[in-house]
Amino acid sequence: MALLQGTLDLLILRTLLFGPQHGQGIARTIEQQAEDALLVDHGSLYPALQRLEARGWIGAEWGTSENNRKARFYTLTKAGRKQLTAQTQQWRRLAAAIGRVLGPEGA
Amino acid sequence: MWWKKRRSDEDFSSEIDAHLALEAERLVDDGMSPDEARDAARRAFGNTAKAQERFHEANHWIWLEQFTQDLRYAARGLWHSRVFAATTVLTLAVGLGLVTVVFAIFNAYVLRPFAVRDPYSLHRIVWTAPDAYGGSFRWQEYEELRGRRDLFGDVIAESTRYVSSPNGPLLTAFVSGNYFEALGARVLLGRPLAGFDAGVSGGNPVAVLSDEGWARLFDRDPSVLGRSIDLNGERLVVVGVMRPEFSGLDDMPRDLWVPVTMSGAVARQDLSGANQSREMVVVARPAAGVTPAQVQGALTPMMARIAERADVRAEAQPQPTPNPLSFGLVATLSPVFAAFVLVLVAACANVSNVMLARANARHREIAMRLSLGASRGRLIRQLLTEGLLVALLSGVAALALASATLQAGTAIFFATLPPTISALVRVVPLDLDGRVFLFALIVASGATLLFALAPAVRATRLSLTHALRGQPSATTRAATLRNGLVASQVAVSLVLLVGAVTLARNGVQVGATELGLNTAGIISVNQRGQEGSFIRGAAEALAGDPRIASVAVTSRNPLFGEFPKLPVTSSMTAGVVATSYMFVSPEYFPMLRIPIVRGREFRPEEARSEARVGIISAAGANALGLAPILWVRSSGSGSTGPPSGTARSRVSTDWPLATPRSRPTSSSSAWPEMSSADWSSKDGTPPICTCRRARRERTPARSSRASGRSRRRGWPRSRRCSARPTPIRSCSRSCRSTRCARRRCTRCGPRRGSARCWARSPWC
Repeated sequence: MALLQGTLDLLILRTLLFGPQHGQGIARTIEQQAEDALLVDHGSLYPALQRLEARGWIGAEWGTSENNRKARFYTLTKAGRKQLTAQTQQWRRLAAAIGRVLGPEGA
Repeated sequence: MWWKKRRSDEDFSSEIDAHLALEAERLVDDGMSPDEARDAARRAFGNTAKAQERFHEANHWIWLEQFTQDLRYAARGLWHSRVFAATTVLTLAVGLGLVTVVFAIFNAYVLRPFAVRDPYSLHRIVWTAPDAYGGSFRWQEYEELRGRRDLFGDVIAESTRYVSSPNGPLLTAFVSGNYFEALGARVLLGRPLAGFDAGVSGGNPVAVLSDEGWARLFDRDPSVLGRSIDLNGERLVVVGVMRPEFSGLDDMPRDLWVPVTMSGAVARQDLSGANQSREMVVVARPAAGVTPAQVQGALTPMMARIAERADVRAEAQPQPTPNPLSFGLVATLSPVFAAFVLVLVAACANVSNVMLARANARHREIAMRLSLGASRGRLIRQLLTEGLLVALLSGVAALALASATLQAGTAIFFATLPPTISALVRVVPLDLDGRVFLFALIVASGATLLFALAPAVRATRLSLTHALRGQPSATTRAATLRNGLVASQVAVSLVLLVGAVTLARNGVQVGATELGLNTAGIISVNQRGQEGSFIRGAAEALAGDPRIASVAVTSRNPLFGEFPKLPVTSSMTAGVVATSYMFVSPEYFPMLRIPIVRGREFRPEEARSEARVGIISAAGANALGLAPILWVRSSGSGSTGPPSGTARSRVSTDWPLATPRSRPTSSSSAWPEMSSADWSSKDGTPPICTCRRARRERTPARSSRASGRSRRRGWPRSRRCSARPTPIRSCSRSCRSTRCARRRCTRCGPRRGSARCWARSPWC
């Protein structure tokens, strides 16, 4: 299942809540946590990361990965944390509302 | 954020490389072979180039980058086709240059504020009535205005006139002592005039020069301070020179400023002394918090007293520039603007056509770029950039052209004027200032859209398959546009040409108009503010000079300016006719060779005896409904009442002559401006005089025939009479045919076949 438009940012921020991570790791974490139900388009991941960085929600630094490769590590900033809270609440409200409209499962 | 160091494209690429490596490693860990894993990682990522492009575009001022690219490309393109570039740039430069010239003049006379402190608070104090207007005050009235501290911050007064000097007439402003201090105009050298200069009657013999006066009198010699100038025989010391930006509070740059207290000595008319005349123009700044409307309300009683009538309103007219911008002004000037904008439009159409041809020649290149994935908008932008470059180059050329045109134009203007007039004419400096530059920039950019947009849109709308195969595409529509452009160009040019020819012909015709008076060898001497007795003496003295053939005295220069009017009634018209009049001495008619058609000229004894006689012009007689009696044979029989009121012969109206049967309805107080010695009355026999305009000599035979016929039919003797009693019918085409019984063209009066007959058609 492909991601809904605009949800990638939220998922990236959420993933970074657990600590610094590089792009490939972020994509991998999202897919694992969604139990491979979500497919992250690697091609749009990096422009999205760039966009979040430009907004100041995440910071970035080159570092070394666990298997000794050079990678760019992203960390959540204070503004990013705030943004994550806001977006999460917004998403939950939206999902709940849509759920109410659609009615109980199987109906 | 802009101050952050921008991440480079390379950094982004290496991140993508790192991602691919990590992903491949993970897949290998999952059990794939290294090659398979690398391919799978790439597949999962998709188009890396696309991601890089998106990064680049999001991260840069892409339009600026593309714009500089386009600009470089356009410059290279123009350099390669230099003939095309030169043609378009020069064509457009002519159009832009002309518009810039007009704007520079408009700017100098209308938009550019005076170089004084807070020019927008300056207001000229005047009074207006439904049919009258006054903006001149006595000195004591100025002082009264100046005393209104509740209304005004500063109040200044000036009176400007030409004063003779050995260097020719100098435009001299007699100003109140606070003039420069109140305006805050800045000096280049020395000091401005100050209160103490105008403090004492008889004055301080000092003067401040304008830049123009400095150039005229001293050739901009920096050691001018302390030197003296001769003004009407009076010696004044130069104490200062103003900066070139300030040349007075209207569109006639002053040569110099002199304290008002010197006016008696310099102009032989003491403006601030005992016998003051209304000569001062008053300009004021309303006090803080006072609106012009409040000023007008507060001053109206005073103005009513000054104008000696009740229906008068005071007005404070904003005077920030020589001719403040108003709707009426723009409306008056709009035909001029329209003509020059049309020139620009024609130039744009021309350039547009050339650009379209060039774009057509480049359609393979454009098709290639389109097929390589360039977007159409991007290509249009590139073609527009090319247009903008042409427009910018033209703009620069246009400014140079405008500057040269203005200089040459001013020089030609002065060179073609008669020297006596060019000595009097003053022109505001026509500089190209920031406002003109901005205007040129805006118009050049606007012109770009006008001439480059259509070709750009047209050129990029093509069928790729056709274009790449080398076949021209979209031919019909492009041809329509080209034809449209050519047609509009021809149309605009035709309009301009017709307008220009009409104006030129008008000018020639106005110059060739028979004024009805012969001014050859006539010199007019104007004397203002003097008593009648002085004029009588002067006229007699001049008449005694053997070099002078004859002297006539008039109240006005003939055909100059507006004439005073009198309400006149006649038995033939129901209402009152406002009739212009002037007073003349008996020598006036013979001297200007104004023929008297009926009756006689004034007699010298009538001038001396104040006889109640007058001569009426043909136009005046017509207006008063007296035309029919003109043709009565005996000169005296048409008139019963005492005639009075001379009228001038008019340019615009033709003939009939009148015996006046009118009398002024107003009392004798309507004649206060009499300054010549020759009009007046007692009782007198009423001589009837009618004057006729000078006409070309006719051949005697024709003349007698024509006049005989016209008399029989009750027509005027002149052949161009517009007041024919017969109804005007349309010209019969057959009037010249041999079978035609009608001997005369009914439309135009003249005999058939004559040069003026309108009916000379091939049918006749």
